[in-house]
Parts: sequence; C-alpha cells; structure tokens
Amino acid sequence: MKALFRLNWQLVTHTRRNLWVILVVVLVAAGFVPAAQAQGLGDFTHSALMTKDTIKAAYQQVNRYVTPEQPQVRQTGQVLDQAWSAANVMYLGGAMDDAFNVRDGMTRLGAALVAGDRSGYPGLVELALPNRAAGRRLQLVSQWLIAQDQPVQRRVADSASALAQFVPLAMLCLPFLLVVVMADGWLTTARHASIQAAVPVGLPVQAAVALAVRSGLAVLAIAGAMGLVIGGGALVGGLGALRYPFTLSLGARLTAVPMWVNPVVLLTQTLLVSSFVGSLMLLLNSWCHNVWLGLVLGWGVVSVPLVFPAIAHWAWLPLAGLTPQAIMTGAVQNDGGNWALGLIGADGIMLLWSAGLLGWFAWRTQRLAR
Amino acid sequence: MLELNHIHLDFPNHPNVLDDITLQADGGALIGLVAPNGMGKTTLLKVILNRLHPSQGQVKLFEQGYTSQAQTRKNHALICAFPEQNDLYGDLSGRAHLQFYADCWQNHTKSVATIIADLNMGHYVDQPTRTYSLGMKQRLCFAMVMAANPPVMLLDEVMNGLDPLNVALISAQLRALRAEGKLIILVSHLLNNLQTYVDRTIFLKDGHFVLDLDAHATPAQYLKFTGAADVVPGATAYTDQLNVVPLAEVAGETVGSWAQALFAANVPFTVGPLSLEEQFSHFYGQTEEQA
Repeated sequence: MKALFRLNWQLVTHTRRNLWVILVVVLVAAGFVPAAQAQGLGDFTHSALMTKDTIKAAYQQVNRYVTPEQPQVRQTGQVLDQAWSAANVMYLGGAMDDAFNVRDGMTRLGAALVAGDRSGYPGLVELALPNRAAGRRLQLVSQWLIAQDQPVQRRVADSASALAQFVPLAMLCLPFLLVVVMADGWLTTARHASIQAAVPVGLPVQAAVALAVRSGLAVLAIAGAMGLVIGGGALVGGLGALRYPFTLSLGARLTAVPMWVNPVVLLTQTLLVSSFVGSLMLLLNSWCHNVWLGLVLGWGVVSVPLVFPAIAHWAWLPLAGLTPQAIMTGAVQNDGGNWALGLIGADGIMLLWSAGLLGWFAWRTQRLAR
Repeated sequence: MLELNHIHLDFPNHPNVLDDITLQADGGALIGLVAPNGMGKTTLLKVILNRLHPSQGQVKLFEQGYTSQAQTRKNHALICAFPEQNDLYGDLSGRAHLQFYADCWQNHTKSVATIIADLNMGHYVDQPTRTYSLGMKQRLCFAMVMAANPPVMLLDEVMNGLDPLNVALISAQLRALRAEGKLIILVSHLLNNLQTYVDRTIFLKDGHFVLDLDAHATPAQYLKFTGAADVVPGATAYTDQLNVVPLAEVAGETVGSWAQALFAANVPFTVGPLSLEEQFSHFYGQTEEQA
C-alpha cells in the first residue's frame, strides 16, 4: 500500500502535465494580489456604482414616461426607488469613506432587493437586477459589520480581502484543474499493465490509491495557492480582518461566517469535488486510453453547469456541486427555486454519484480483467 | 511449491490453447519453457498468475489455489512475473521502479543497492527510463523481479535485446537465484544459453507438454550426421537436415565402422546427446509460426 502511494506520488509529481498545472497555479496565486489591485478587483466603490446604475436603469424603465397606473407596477417602482436610494447611500458612503452610511445602505438595499425579488418585479421587462440571494447576502454582511463595528472591505489591501476575492475564483476553476490532475488516474495502471497487474494488491485498492494521491496533490496545490495569496496580501497590508464576514449556504439558508472559514471550505470542496471528478475520470479512462481525449471529455462534463446552468438546477444530477461558488452564494438555489439544495445537499448528491461511478468502474475493470 | 493440475483453457474460436497441462515444481529449480511464438507459453504464465482463468484444472502455490480474492493477493505475494519493458514509466528512474517492487513484495532481505551493483546498473539507474536503451530496460525489468525477491519467478523472454556480455551476466544471476532456493520458470528462445543452466526443459506444443527433459539425467548418446540417412543402417531423419542413430545399445566397434563410412563419404558427423536446438527443430520444424 505504502509502495503504491509512493509510486503514484512519484508519477503525479513527474508528469509534465501536472508540473505545468502547478506552475500555472503558482504564477496565478503569486501574481493575484498585484493583479487584483491593478485591475480593481473587489473595489467596493466601483461595484456599488455598478449596482446603483443597474437599479437606476431598471427604475427608469418602469417609470419611463409617467408614474405607472397599475398598482403592481407602481409597487415595483416603489421598491426600485427604495433600492436606488439605498444603493446611492451605499455608493456615496463608500466614496466618502463613511462606514456608517455604507452599512446602512447595504442593509436597506438588501431588504429592498429581497422584497423586489419576492414580488417578481411586475412591469419590468428585462431583469438584470441582483437577486434575492444577493440581497440576503448584503443583509447578513451588513448585520455582521454593524454588530462587530467593522468597516466594509473597500479593495484588495491585505490577506483577508485578497482571500475573499481569490476563493470564489479558485472554486470556479477547481473542477477544471481537477480534471487535469485526475486525467490519468487509471491510465497509469492500464497503460503499464504488466508492471501493475503483477503487484500483490487488488485493483480496487490500486484505484483508490490513484484517486487519493491525485486528490492530495490537488489539495496541496490549492493550499499552496492560498498560502501565496495570503502571503502576498500580508506583504501589502498585513493579515487584515480574519473575522470579516462572508456568506455561506450550507443547508437551506444563507449564514454569515468569519473569513478564516473560507480556506477550510475551499479545501473541503477540493476534496469533495475531486472525489467526483476522480471517479468520473477513472471511468472515462476505462473506455478511453487517450489522456487528452479524456481531458476534453472531462472538461466537457464540468463545463455543463456553466454553459447550461438550467441543467445544474436538476437536484439529482451531480452538476450543482461542480459550481460550489454558486451554491455558496445561493445563486443556484435562487435561480433553480430550490433552497433545500445547500452546499451539504449538493455535495451529498455528488458523493452518491461518485460512489455509483466507482462501482461502475470496478465492475468494468473486473470484467476486463477476466 | 508450484502445482498445475490438468489445466485446460479455451479461447473464443481457439479451443485447447492449453490442454491437460500438469506440472509440479519445487524451489531451487530453473525450468525452461520452450516453444515457438503463439504456442501458449505466455498464456500458461498468465494462468499461473491467475490473470487467465482455466475452464478446468487448478493452479496451486504452496498448496493454495486462487480460491478467493484474499488468497489471490496472498499467492501474488509469492510470485512475480517479468514486466514488459514497454510498460516502464518513462518519467521515473530505474531506482524508483526497483524500490516499488521491493516495497510491494516487502523484500527486506535483498537490498536494491546490491541488485543495482550485481547487474552493473549504477551508471544509469537514476535516469528516467525513457532515456534507456532496449538492453538497459531489459536489465531493469529483470532487476525488478530480483527486487521483488519472491519464491517463484516467471521470466518471459528475459534475454531479449541483451548482448552476449549481459546474457552471461543474467545467466549468472539466474544460477545464484536458484542457489537461493527460488523456483524460476523461464521462457527463452536462446536455446544454447538455456541449455547451460536449466534443470528441466519443457516443450509445449498444441496445448500439451510434448517433452520434459531432466538436465541432470545422463543424456542418451546419438550419432548425428547430415545428408542421406541410408549411409548408416537404422538412421532416421530427425529434422530436415539431421539424421540420428541412438547409440544406447550399439557396440563401440559398430559405431567406429559407421564413423569410418561417414568419413569416407565426406559426411560431417558428431557423437553426443541431442541439443535443445536439435530437439526444437524436431518438434517444431513443420510448425508454422503463428505470432
């Protein structure tokens, strides 16, 4: 067993494909803080301005010529008016560095967005407004900030603010990165049959070790990347507010948790998503012995929830779990109208699928071995 | 140590690939398995490894058959097959391969460093195997089996791609392994080389063992010559080009007179036992190679 772990570790760390992936991860992580600062990523004032303008455009659409006569449309106008006003307060608070107004504007904007989303904005033709989950997030964060008397993060200026921007990006890229790392999970055995088949270890154990080692590499790569981002942020402005809130949907509702939980969630998601992607790639390997073709097929599967988000809303498919950042923010639940599907639910379904794929793979390999 | 009891194996559209194969072998023996390509040698080794399952018969290692998955793993810990050089991991070093096999078979008695020294691999063993020549890879594959150090070793075409010096080197190691009590089943086409160290040579044809030669038994003597068989009374054509007369019950004077006749007719002749190559030609001379 130990020998198999060592061999697999040597294989994954000597594979040029993995070395390239690690190099890219290191470069992105090392350059993240300067790039985020240069590009204005996480700039609160800018995003507040964008929100304000979006709401303003919606408000103007509803009140285009005269005050609407229909009560429902008039109600939409009122909600958007409240939202616009709150967004103005939030934006100006940010521009004037006024923490009180920022938090007040966030609270009011959150409430207006939740109320508007509930009503469905009758009379509004095109909806590009922040949804109910976004409104709820604003409420939770502002409540936390008020309770802790903390200012809002205005830009990437330290480790905590860098992490807040890096983790969603890492979660978005995670399934694609895992497909690359897991791409040859079974090929290292199948393509080197006379070396591995004689080994006095059963095929299921060999597959489990291949999966575990590649998951371990992915966890190390992500942990290393976060270390670089934290280090980069610390060099610029220290660690920052490690208890700054971020919202998370574990179960049926969004909750605010401190920022230091963010890396734990990302690493846990790396392990859970790697179990699904790893099982998928093992099965694909048993059909397709070309690593590049397997890679394209794997990328195709993990792209589905991004290209066709509606498919990811089918709760019994494992696809929602492949977009953990969208589950965490409640976007998938909001769009799919299924708030039972939190991070735990999506991961649970993904694990069930992983077990099924592993069983299918085991059945295939046992049959091929005969 | 190793028992094959009435093994029978069919392939789809190819019945009787192995037909009633029975073999019993103990440690401290080198057994040569001889046949042209496509006669079932590698298939037999796969049956011994339980990678192919016979329709009848049983393989036993140390009196234990492949009766369950747990028993299969136990049996596999006692046996190691020669890996194919194309299956080596190109990005890993030879030393990594050796250490992998030593660890998998939990070999704590024979060090990897000793094996590297014994097989003169020190100058290349730390390079990635993709940089190796065929001969270097072949030596590494043999070294991997040595690193596993199990009681039973199955070596399929171990001498392929080796120069005469390395053939001699591996041959010496095979003798040393036999002295350590290993049972080695060796498939080789280098019959002259095989003859110098095997204890037993088994010829496989049409799914059967057609000849089982004990190298330690006193070999029968023959008068062997080429050309027309009727120059010597009682001579028979053993192969296309070789005639033989068994000398077991022939008086020395008679042998002398036959020798004189052959000499006078300018026919080259020898007296001695039949070599493996001559027996190979006898059994397979008419056989069309299938692979």
